[in-house]
Amino acid sequence: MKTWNVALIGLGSVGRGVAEVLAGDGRFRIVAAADSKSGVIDPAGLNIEEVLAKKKKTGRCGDTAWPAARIAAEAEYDILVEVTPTNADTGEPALSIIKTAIKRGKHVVTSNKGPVSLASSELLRLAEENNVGFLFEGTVAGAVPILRGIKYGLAGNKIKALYGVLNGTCNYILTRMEEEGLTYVQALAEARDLGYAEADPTYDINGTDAAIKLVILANTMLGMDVTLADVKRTGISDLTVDALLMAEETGHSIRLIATLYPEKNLLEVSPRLISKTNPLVVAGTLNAVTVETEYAGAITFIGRGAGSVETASAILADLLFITDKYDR
Amino acid sequence: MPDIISAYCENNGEEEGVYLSIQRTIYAYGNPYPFQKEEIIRIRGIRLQKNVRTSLRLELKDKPGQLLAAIEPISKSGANIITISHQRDTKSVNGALIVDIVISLPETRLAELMDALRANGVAIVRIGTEHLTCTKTFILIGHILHTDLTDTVNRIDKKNIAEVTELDIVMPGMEEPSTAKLTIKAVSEPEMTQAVLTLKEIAVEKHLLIINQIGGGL
Repeated sequence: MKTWNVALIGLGSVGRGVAEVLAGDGRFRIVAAADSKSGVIDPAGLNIEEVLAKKKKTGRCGDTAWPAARIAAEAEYDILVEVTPTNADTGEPALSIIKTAIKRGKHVVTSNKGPVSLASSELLRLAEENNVGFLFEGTVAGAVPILRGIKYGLAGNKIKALYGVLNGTCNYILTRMEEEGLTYVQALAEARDLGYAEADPTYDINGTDAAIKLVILANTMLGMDVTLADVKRTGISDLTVDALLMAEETGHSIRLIATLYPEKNLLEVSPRLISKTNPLVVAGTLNAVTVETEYAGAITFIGRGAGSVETASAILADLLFITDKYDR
Repeated sequence: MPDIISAYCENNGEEEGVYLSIQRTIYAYGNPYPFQKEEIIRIRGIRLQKNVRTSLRLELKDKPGQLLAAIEPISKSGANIITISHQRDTKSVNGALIVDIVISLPETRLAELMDALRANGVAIVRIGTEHLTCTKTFILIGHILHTDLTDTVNRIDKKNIAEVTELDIVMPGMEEPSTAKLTIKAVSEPEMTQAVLTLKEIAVEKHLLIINQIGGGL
């Protein structure tokens, strides 16, 4: 059995999850790793625990002479796993790093929404030209295999509409407002305390994060050509407890729903009244996507949309897809 | 006839909170409010509900007091009687008298009235079909009262085509945004789409957040 060499770019929550998942898997060996300031290489395989311990102690995982960009360009590896935080405006520095790797004939797996939402067609074309895989299952709905589900599981079905709960932070806040009568501000504070919301949750609560995921779905799975600016966005910060109570009177919830109608070229993220019996009404931080198809009818995917090992699960699936399909 | 059927208010001058004079409420919706004298109350919310015209064909046994058995529950329900046609020479096959009545009352009270009629031994042969068959519910958040509620409702209302049939407003405080549940009924989908477009225009213009329902086709 061949062992595939992995360069791991990003050692945050998802990066640590990937390290954890790959540690118990003999098919992969992490030969290089980088954080935002430094990098470390060992062709024989890194002791990732030591690397993480060093990062924790010093703030750096390795040598500043080997930043991520240099590892991508010069180190020896088979697959680059890129799991740094999303930059929605430029996709950088991840976008350049991914391009460098693909142009060198290296496979790339990423959970970073920035490069995929901004440049998926260019990156996929580049990957095809270089005969490598470029996969990004973890960018949409975390552990939920929505991209592969649509592309392969529902192959041949025309997608008529797609509805999704794609932001766990918003779903958590709305669930708590509904169940406990918390105000938006109280529910957000609770989400922060529990680590479900970032220190600056703007992109989550104003619908941008869900909109980026919608763009990825539209461009990579539904043959559309759209950008973030094409998605009409309304966030949840103005919602009142009274609104949730009124919704409840008629058996409804209010959830931040991403909607996509490919034929009308309509993309929107907004709080919507939705019947509590609808499978999209999921609790807490869960994500859910319903796809309305030509032959299969409506299919709903539900699962964990974020988290360290959860996202790593999507990355592992991408890695195994590559090892299955390619020889090197 | 006032469209306001209830205002859930706390009549408590001592309590901290929002105090509105009733006059303001009259002004806010442009409809007569049941109370006449000016008093200060704390208003938590207002529920507006339009009366809907319904035609009923009733069958009465041909004996004394039967008309009263039909009229009394209608009167008690608070409905307005628009017309009654009671033709003594038109009888049903089983010899009962036929009475056609057109009434006006909030739709939500109709079922209750039907029960009361049946309890009085009145047979309901036909209920006039509601011609506004398409219904959509929205939640609005923002300064709904300050931005001329009458105008909002009037712009959506197109007589016999599309109408705001129900509006429920909750006001947490004078300067805080209110929340409203609004039901629009329309004759069919295209008219509903037009009404929704109007509502969306108003929402943009008046800075109201509009939450609409996701299709039942899921």
